[in-house]
Amino acid sequence: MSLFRDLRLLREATAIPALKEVVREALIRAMFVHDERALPRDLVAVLRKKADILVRVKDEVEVRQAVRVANGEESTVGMGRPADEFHYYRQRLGVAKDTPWGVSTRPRLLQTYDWIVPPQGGIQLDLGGLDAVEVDGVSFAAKVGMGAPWKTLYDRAAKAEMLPAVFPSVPLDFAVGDGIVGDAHFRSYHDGFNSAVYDVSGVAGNGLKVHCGFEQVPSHATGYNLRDLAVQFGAEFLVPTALWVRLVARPPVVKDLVYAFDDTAKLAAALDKLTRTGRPYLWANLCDERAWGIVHGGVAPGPYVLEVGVGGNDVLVAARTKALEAAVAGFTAKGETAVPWDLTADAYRARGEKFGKILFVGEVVTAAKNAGAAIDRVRSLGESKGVRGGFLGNVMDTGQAYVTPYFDAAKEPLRVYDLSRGVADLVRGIGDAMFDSRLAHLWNEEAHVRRRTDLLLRLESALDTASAIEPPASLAPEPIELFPEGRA
Amino acid sequence: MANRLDYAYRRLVNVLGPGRVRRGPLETFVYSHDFAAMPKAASLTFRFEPDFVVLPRTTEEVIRIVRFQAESGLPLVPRGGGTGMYGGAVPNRGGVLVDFRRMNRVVKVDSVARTMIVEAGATWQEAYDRAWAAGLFLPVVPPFALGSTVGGWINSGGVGIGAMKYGSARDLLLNLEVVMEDGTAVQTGSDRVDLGGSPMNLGPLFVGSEGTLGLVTRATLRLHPRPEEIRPVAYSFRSLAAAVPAVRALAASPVRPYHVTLLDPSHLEFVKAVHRDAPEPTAVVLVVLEGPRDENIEGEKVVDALMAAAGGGKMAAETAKALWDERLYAYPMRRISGGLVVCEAIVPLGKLGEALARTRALRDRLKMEVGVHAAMVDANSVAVYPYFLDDEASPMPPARLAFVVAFREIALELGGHPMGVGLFLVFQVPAIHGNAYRFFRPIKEALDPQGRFNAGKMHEIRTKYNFPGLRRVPLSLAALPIRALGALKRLGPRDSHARKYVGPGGKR
Repeated sequence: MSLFRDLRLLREATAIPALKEVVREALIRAMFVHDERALPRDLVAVLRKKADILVRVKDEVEVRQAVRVANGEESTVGMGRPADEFHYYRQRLGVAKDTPWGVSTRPRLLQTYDWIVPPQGGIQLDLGGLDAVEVDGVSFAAKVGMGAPWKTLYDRAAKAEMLPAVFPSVPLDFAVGDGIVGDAHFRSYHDGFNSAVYDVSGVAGNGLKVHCGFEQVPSHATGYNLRDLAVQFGAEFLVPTALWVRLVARPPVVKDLVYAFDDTAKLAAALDKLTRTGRPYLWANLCDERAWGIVHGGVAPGPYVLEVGVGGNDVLVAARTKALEAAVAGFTAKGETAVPWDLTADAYRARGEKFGKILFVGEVVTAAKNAGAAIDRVRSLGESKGVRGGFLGNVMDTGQAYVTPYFDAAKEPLRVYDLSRGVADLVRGIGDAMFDSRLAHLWNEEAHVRRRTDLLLRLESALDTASAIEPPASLAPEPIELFPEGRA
Repeated sequence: MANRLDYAYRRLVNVLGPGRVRRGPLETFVYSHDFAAMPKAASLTFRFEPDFVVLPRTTEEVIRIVRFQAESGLPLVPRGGGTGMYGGAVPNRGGVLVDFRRMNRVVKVDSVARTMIVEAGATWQEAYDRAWAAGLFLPVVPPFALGSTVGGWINSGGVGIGAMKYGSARDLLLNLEVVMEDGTAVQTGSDRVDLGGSPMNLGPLFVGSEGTLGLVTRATLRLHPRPEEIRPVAYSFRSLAAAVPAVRALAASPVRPYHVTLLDPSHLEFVKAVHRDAPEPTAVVLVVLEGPRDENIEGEKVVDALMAAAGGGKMAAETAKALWDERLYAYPMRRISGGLVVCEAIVPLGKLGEALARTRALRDRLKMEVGVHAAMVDANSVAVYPYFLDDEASPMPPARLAFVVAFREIALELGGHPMGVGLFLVFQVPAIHGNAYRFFRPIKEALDPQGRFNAGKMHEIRTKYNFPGLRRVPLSLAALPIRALGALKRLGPRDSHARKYVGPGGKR
């Protein structure tokens, strides 16, 4: 699935300058909620399309076969499609850029909502079968299939007395690969997802296996930074099949310390101070009462809860705990709870399913000192919309907070759109903040963002010249006559 | 009668004024090499001297230079401090060399947001000092921080001091201002929030791009709170390979060091030759702890125990401090032979012992004088820096480059990768990236379709000749002469710069 396909179609639909200014947001809304009365027929036709065939691949060989089929290098008969389909000729006739037939992928789990523009036919790959996890127990690196659940990685690493370098920002049962093909966020107190991935391997649009990085070491000074490109939008120009991720040593003592606050201002001040301690905590997660109930069960110690992972030997844990308590002064209650990832796989999945029923719209990225304002505004937004709003979140040692609003509302498009718009609006009132969601990317028309988007789209086109991976949709596709009358 | 270059000179003077456009032979000669000397023989293929050296002060001036390029067609080569080692900032076809060192202001240090906006030509040391003065900490700096510029190191994309705890320059980047080929300035991210791994963050693409995609003019960097204390501790071992288990144990420990350096006895032998008060040659592991004092005290106890268990002897605190203080002066031995060539590669920590053994064997085979030091990149990998003494005036330097090529191949065979691309090592990029190398040309053509910026440094080798068939050297052929000369080197005498070296005042 493809953010760039959404962006491209939107640009094509608003190519006339007057339309760009006037109808862009109305168009996004109509497309998102599938308001067919408000959309032209050709756009409705595009939005109604779907992949021709869904293939659950078992290994990389099958992925390569699918890409070769999309390139016309292999027959489609084995995939239940006649071999004389037009795509057989796409390379030779040079029609690839106009033909939407290609390969698309789906994440194991989506935190928020689906992409606007569906695949326009072609093969959709379910990567859930690529679920192998290899932890050798010696090196601090693991090979993880794109469909492998993060929890499996966590459990295998734990057996080797290690930890994944990053944790899911929201306790859904994500695959690690959802960080690339989906909208999952992974981070720890110190690391972001991009610094936790050594290598993204996959199949490029030309059918060749590629490694965007190196299996056991980080990629530095080797020319163009393919690893970061692949982590950021790899699924737009290749079919990722496996990741090599960094692990860290699991400290001999790991505690999940809990501090409750009754006031978001105090919470925000505590977060700001926490990130100035210079101590290497493992994670710093936030939640409200309701989310606490799902994650840990029982009654939350307060309306706003900060959970900090503290690891080390006994002496270091004592020092880090003491410093932590000094930094987060202002809490009303404190305690210790079970490490939130140390559940059985079934319990973890069941907990994730509970969160899966909740409506998420994206993530508010802001300075830790502003996290309180973000939380307050999310709550008031919920009240104004007649739904209960809450939050989960994380804080990093960079001083950045990531607040994930959630709402007790049905996941129907109109509601999702409305609440997303509300969050985007409230973020504007907070200094140093950004709303990170796919809709927000579509809405953002600031000049420098537009320029950057131009470059990214150009780059993506260049990396997959034949548009074999996540091909764009077109409003007025030219009919391709491979066998014109009388010449067949 | 004025020729084409005279007109170009006038145009540039109109943009920058006469004081900031240079074309004299001495000035262009100075800019015709970087940290390493260019082999004379390579002048047959490349033209290292730029036609003009320009020194812009503002982004607007850089934009005007790029627009001038569109009219004149002269290649643009960005240059920072000239501390690169493989010709990344050296012209290959003359043209206009853009020296960024006049764009060296620290524009803003924001203590609340913990960020810094700095121009591309400021050195890392200047940026570090400004952050420190504001109560903040720029945690990652290159080994050549004294001369290496912010834009230069971002363009080369290496790892440096502080990598073990804080990652690389890429991990500090919030935003870059880059002048693109159409003469517009682009913001790759945001000064206010970290776009991280968002698809809309264009910044990481420019890290390591060798200035081939655009001209970086300004960077917004993430700072950290100034640590209460920086505490170096050092341990001696009988060999560096013997220290590897201790370093692995350190990676698995609850202590997170700021920086870990490994010094081979060969390295300290050379240091000792030029600094008589340097530590006796032995294998040394220097562990630097940074942060709150109580953490460092406990951390030191943990490290002491781990090193002792592996046979490491703790060195005096003054020695550790001296080693740490010398971190930005890593190559004083350059004066032994009048030149030095440094190789860089990252290998898995588990393969460090093998990497060292094979490097020693290579040294013996090529009869060279090689020192080795290394630095941990993360818990799993280590950057190895073998270097060799090199007399730049002798006729043999190209032969010695065989060491560079062979060492980089060793790194690849061990599951790591060489670092550095530039003019002289671009031919290895296909071997480094395999099939993914096919992405390189499209990336360049997507962002710089006319090849305005530093062409011939990333996916092709461009020569000074402008005739069909001679414009480019096939990558597969580029290493052949170096290998052939390497074979000759094996037949020649053993290098003996260090043995012959007599220090100042006739002291050895």
